[in-house]
Amino acid sequence: MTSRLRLFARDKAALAGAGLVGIIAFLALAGPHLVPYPQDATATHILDGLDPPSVAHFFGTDDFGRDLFSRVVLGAGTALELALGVAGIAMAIGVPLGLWAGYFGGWLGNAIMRVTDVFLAVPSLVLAIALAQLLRAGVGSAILALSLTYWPHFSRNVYAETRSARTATFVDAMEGMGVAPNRILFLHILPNIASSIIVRATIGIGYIIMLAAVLGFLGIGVPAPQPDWGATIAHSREHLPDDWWLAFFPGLAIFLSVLGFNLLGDGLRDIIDPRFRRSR
Amino acid sequence: MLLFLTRRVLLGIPTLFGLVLLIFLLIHAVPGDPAVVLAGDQATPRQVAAIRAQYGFDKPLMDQFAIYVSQLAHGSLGVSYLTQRPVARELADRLPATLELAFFAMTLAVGIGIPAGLLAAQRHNSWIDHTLRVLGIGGLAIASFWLAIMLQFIFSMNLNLLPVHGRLSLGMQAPRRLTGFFTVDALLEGRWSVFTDALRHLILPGVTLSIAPLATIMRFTRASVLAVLRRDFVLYERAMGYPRAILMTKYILRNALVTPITQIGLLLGAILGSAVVIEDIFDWPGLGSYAVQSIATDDYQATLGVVLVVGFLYILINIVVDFVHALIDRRLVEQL
Repeated sequence: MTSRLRLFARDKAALAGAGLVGIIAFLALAGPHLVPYPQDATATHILDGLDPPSVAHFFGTDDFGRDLFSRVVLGAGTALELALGVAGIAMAIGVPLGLWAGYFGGWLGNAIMRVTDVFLAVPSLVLAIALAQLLRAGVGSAILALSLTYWPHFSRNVYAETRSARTATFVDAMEGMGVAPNRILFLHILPNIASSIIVRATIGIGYIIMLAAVLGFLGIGVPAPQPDWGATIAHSREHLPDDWWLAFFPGLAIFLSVLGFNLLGDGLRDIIDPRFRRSR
Repeated sequence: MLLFLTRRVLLGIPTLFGLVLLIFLLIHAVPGDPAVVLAGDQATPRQVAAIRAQYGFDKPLMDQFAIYVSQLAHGSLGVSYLTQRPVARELADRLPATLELAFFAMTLAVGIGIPAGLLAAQRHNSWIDHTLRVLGIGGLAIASFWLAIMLQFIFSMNLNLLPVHGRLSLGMQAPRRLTGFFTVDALLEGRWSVFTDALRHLILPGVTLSIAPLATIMRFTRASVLAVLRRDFVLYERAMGYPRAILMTKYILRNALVTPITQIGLLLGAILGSAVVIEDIFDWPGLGSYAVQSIATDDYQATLGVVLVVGFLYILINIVVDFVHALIDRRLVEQL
């Protein structure tokens, strides 16, 4: 384990990713106590509308006079909450299905994987949009729509890992001793493939933040007035080219968070799964 | 080879069937009367009744599915309650615009991504390699809709270099529809000014859509060229004094390009997905802006039509990619 840690410490890109993720997690948790105008999540001051960036308002203000800096920082909480919720639900659906399909195979395993294929047959963004629209606007339906879109990535990943894990000698031995299949699956195979699931989830969170921003941009994500990066950018289009800060800063926040999770995920994968190590 | 193609097409059918089933179940999973859901919130009772009769929503579920499938088989995707036109016809009118944009973006991604990946691999660990890597990682983290707005802001609104939106400038007459691709049709008609105008309109949305696939293709090319460079046959051919250019194009690229090419199918799907948002931003009259418009007006038949058509295209593209892949690597033909 220590050698793995050392490997990670030498990977500058992965460290930068871990740093970014750390900052975003910190802002998401402590944001409401840190930002200069926490009440601007909902309050409006029309008279201070559309001020350019200044000392009082680092990122300027929006057309309701709300401090954009506060709203971008508070948006980290919104984004992370949503992404973690989605990753959790998608894992809860995808991991058991992948485990069963990979271990038992047969017609049931085949059926599970064909369903997975169908979900993967539509670009995830298109599927997420259709689902989010059918489920009507709201945080809950955005989370559900994104979870239903993302679970097949987990089941496919876990399926492949389980297929190769079930040929291990210790699985044969336990089968010979008559250990219940579910016990083998969840207590013995799952811990062995957990690291690959963690990598998939880390990269997935970055991807989900991006998808959620698109939903917000299209107006079928987090409803107003809750601070949301995508929705803020959508709103900014009415104020271009004069009030550029409205579009610029929320996009920068999306960029940095997705970048953070991608770099961290890549770094973790390099350590856990040397097969895919980036050639240097 | 023909057998390979046939089997691959047959394998696509269950997936397509599954997609239809999924959408059918989606319509029914939503709480409320499916006829009302499909018709939209502002539909008149008569429109609702018409949809109920068309899809047989008063019949058992199995019959309903049979009716739905036969409707699709006859090319009917329902009627948009907003425009009162068949969704299938509206989509057919808009499809070429989306395809032109997607192909343009893909051409940029392949045309820049593969040489860039090759360069990075050849200058392994040099400053070029590092710069390209940073750019590639950054390219995958940018939200495309944000990039689109920033490009509009810089190149159209401030520098006035490129048009903000649309496929052609106002007053410019669209070329006669042969392929539906404005650039191609304009060239076929020999109208140079229309061609350049159409091309200028393609640049910003095309560049926006190409960034993520470009970064992916560059990454895959670099990795697979590096892997091939380490193989024994390369060492042997180098030792034999093969000219570097021939070695690169004839032996290394042919082996190394298989992986990036297999990615193209997935990436085209991703482009079609992002096109939904990007077309809306650039007022590009394709499937994507149609989807956004139908979302805004709760026109479910229209949205689901887009999902079906994009899913169908995606399955089709993957069949084509597998076929090209098999042409490059004949070993695959025996595997299937």
